[in-house]
Amino acid sequence: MWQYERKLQYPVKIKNPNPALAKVILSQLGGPDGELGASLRYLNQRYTMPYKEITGVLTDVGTEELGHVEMISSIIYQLTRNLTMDEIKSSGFDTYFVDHTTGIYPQAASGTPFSASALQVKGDVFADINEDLAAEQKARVSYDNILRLIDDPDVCDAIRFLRQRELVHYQRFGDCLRIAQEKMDSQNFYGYNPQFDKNNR
Amino acid sequence: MIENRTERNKLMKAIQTYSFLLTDVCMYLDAYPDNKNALEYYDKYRKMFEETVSEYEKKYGPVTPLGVNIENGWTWIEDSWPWEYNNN
Repeated sequence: MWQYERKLQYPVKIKNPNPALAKVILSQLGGPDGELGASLRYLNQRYTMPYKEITGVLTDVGTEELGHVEMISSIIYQLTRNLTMDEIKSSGFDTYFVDHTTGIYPQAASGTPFSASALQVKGDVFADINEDLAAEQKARVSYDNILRLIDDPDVCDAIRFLRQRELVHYQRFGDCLRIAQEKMDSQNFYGYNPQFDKNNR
Repeated sequence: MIENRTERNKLMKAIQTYSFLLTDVCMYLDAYPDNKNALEYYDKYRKMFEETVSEYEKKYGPVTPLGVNIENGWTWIEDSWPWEYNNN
């Protein structure tokens, strides 16, 4: 169960609307390495995790990612406020506008709607944690690319915060991998210790 | 009124800061549940977070839906939402 707190995790206050930026940043909402996929990946993987430490990390990181969904949505919302039709046409935002006006819809920058195929829940601790490590790095690269594409200081400030969190999450999933390796059957192969066939829960 | 808003923003910033420190240390403690320093850090900032939230709710309104003082009516939907430009 979750309860809403009436605050963003980190302040988003963008002085200058800019629909062209919004179109790029949208990818971190509904793109292949976006925050929505991240939250669903971790919150769904945690049910079959055999170790309480890892279940805790997935629960808490997945919850933080929901806060990042809200931050990215807030950036897009503020970047697309008070637009004129001329701004919408000349920025290339018209192809989004025609389907969603200025509503916040999870899609990639390319226009592909959010898809659960961007994430995996394998029900296997080593497969899932390795997926999570890769996912954090891919999200970090997306933020690096966004920072290469934009120079609005208000937007960059929030994006840098989000990028930094990907590094911390990567660190925690690294801890998870180590914990799983320490707890596995030492007679078994390193990195292969299937949980499905064991009645240890 | 402007003074008021500045004071309010300062309190909200403090809530955001303490809340962030707690988010960070909680996931650390998930992986290192026996770390004494982290446990003490958690305890210190949880108290500061709770005190700041209760001060904010007394002065300005609810942070969660359970922070509503019904003497003022249903204040949960009053004021701007966190994603508004003029909220931060």
